[in-house]
Amino acid sequence: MRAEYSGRHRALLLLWTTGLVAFPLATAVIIGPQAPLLAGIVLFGNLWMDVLALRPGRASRETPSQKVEGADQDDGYDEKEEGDVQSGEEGARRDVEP
Amino acid sequence: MVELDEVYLRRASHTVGACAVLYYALPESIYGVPRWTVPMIAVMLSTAGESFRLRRGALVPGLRDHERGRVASYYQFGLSMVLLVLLFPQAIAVPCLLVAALVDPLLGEMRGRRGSCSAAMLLCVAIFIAAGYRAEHWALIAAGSVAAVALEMTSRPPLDDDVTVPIGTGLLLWAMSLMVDLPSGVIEPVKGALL
Repeated sequence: MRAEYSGRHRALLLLWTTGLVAFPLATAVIIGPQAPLLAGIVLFGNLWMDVLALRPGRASRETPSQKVEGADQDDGYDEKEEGDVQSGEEGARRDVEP
Repeated sequence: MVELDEVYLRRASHTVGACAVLYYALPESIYGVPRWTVPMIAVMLSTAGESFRLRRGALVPGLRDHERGRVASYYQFGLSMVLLVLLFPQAIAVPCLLVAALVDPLLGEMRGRRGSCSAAMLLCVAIFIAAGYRAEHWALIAAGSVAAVALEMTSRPPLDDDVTVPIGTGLLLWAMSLMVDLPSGVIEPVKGALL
């Protein structure tokens, strides 16, 4: 299940996602004429990860807020709830991710 | 509804760090202010933001559980980027920036698969070539690539790989540059803007 956010996190994520796409494009446009290979590596690497992050239907881990309160609550993030429901296996998996 | 995979949100946020090479496209002086003030201002703002997060317990999307009570990896990564561009010449900083930003997500994506280490090494070599390194710089390319991948795979907390990879590789290249000539930088300041 994919992570779902609500409330103020939506705006933050939307802004962040826009930056994830806009910054590499701007970098490619600005440094492309001087260093095309460099610009290509930056653009390809970024767009690859953006596509993976935004690809619909990709299996992923569920957020603790979904497990406890349901995904449709307004303020999905609460530190105490998240800490309480985080399983050891899930935490260990998250710890080793880069 | 914004819907993102948290693991890939972190990885995409990591790769976007490669855009820090834009620093070298800035004019030397922006309305009379030297360009090095830009990363300094970024450090001040992000330090204020990170201390706010730690004091108030604010949660950032994509934050790992163990980072809630300590300085987060993204802050360490940003600080390393700033140190790189301020302390090292462009020929060292640019490949180190790109290696730190791109190799980590690649190794994460290929975790458990055969050839992940070779793929990371190939990416490092491509980055060095893109940064202006040529055949005569083979020793720098080889040492930098091996060091970056080794540091990436061996770094353990409390020293995050987001610090060890760029700074460690940068220090190694700097030490070698005392004996071997570095290539010239490939990114020139963009003319006619913000002068």
